[in-house]
Amino acid sequence: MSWFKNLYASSIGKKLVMAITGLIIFGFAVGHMSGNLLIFLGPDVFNGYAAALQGNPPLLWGTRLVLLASFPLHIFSAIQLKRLNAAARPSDYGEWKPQASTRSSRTMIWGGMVLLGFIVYHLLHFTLRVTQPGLEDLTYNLDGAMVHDAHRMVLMGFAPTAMGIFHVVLYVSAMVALCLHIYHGVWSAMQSLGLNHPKYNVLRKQVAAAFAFVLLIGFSAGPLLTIAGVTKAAGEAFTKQSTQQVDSDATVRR
Amino acid sequence: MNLTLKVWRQSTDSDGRFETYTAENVSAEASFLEMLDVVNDKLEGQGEEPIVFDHDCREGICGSCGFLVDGVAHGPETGTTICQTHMRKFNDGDSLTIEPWRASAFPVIKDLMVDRTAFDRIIESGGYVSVRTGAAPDAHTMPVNKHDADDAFNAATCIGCGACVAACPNAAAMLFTSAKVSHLGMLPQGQVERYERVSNMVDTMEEAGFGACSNHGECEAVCPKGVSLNYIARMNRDLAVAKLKGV
Ligand code: HEM
Ligand code: SF4
Ligand code: FES
Repeated sequence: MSWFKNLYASSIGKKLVMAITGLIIFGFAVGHMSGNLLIFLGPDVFNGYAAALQGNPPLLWGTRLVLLASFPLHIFSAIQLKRLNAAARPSDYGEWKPQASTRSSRTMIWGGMVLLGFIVYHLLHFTLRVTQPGLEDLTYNLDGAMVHDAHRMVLMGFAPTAMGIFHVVLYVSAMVALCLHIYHGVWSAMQSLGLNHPKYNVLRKQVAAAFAFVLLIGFSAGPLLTIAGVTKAAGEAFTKQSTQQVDSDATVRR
Repeated sequence: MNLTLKVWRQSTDSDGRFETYTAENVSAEASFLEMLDVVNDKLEGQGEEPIVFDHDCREGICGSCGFLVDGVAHGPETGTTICQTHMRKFNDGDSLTIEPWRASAFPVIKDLMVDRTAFDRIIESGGYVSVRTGAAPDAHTMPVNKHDADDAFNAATCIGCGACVAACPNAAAMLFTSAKVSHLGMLPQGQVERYERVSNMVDTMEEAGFGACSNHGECEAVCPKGVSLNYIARMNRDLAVAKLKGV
């Protein structure tokens, strides 16, 4: 491991750690967002999906452990680099005009802090369920098996109440921060890892921008459409349609 | 044209401050440094200390000149050193802020002149190839593919001015160092020390107190020679391999 120590001693090594852990967390975010979208298919589908995750300890704990290792590494190297950079430019310019950097690239550390705060709240809210009364023991009858009612939990979290409005504002603002972080982060990570090719360099920025946008829309859709009443209606419509489908399938067979 | 200049004045031991001067009857054909020469003549005539700034060739090839004009390293003309920037780029009545490079690795010597020996130390630590010297070999004795030759050449156009450090919010010297690492590392003659070179040059760069890369891209935007960020990605790759090899 001495090679790793030597590499990490340099700022380039710290950036590699930052890039790899950042991409891991980013990959999780894309998966998480896709799973969240199942909320629009009603309680059967969404709770079934949640129960399948819960019922797969290797997947669940594998993911949790990898994330639990990635976050501290990402944050620790971010703070080390930030301090190094502050020491390298001790006095500010009287006047400095950005020529190429973006709001996104200049706010990575602050956006990161916002995300960290949000992630802590989000875990307390929907994983440990200690911040909102009534979310503790929601159960759902999924074909006879009693499972956690994640669908109802989301409906309650983003209900049209004062608390629901607070949650929608909080979650959507955090996703704006995520969008900005990813817009620079995914491109930056490719550069840090040395993944460049003259032919694809423009594409790298476009891919990062596309992912940033998809994450913003995909994650914000849940809270926004839930408070607007769409999630419930869509779920009911889908459930009705699929039961009818099952009924008609059954009729045909009969 | 007449201009108002807000210039950073600092002697070795003081903290420095902006002073305001006027530049009168400036010719549009004058270069930026010639404009400062005229201001300095006037200052000297009044028994004041002239504004100190670094310069040598005044034709954009030596890398001596450089300061920020209105918050941009080497001023508003892209791909151009400040010595090659002409006053026609400005308008009568403009008020310009002139500041030295700011980085802890580049201490101010006086006014607009900074100490860039940290760059020399980076070069010394790896900017060479161990080959038998003697008469120059024929150009075709060692084939180099066109892409590599072009890339190595573009890296070699770096004149070591330090604008990349000045423009970087982290005062990082990644663009400079990566250009120096690449222009030898991409040629067959430079393969012998390829990994030692990147390892030593990066170590020296960091000891000098330059910052880390955040991929803002400010360096590339102000570089008078258009040195590309691609060299930084290439250096990251080479350094990872070097450290894996234990160099
Ligand atoms: C949803 C969670 C997060 C994701 C998906 C994520 C992703 C990324 C990625 C992919 C990068 C690019 C790495 C590189 O430039 O090579 C990055 C950079 C960065 N991240 Fe995060 N990150 C997250 C959370 C955080 C947190 C909680 C912080 C801590 C305060 C943070 C601070 C930073 C900073 C400061 C940088 C840029 C450092 C630099 O270039 O100097 N991030 N992030
Ligand atoms: S890379 Fe460009 S800006 Fe940096 S020292 Fe070389 S010529 Fe100057
Ligand atoms: S004085 Fe030589 S490059 Fe400007």
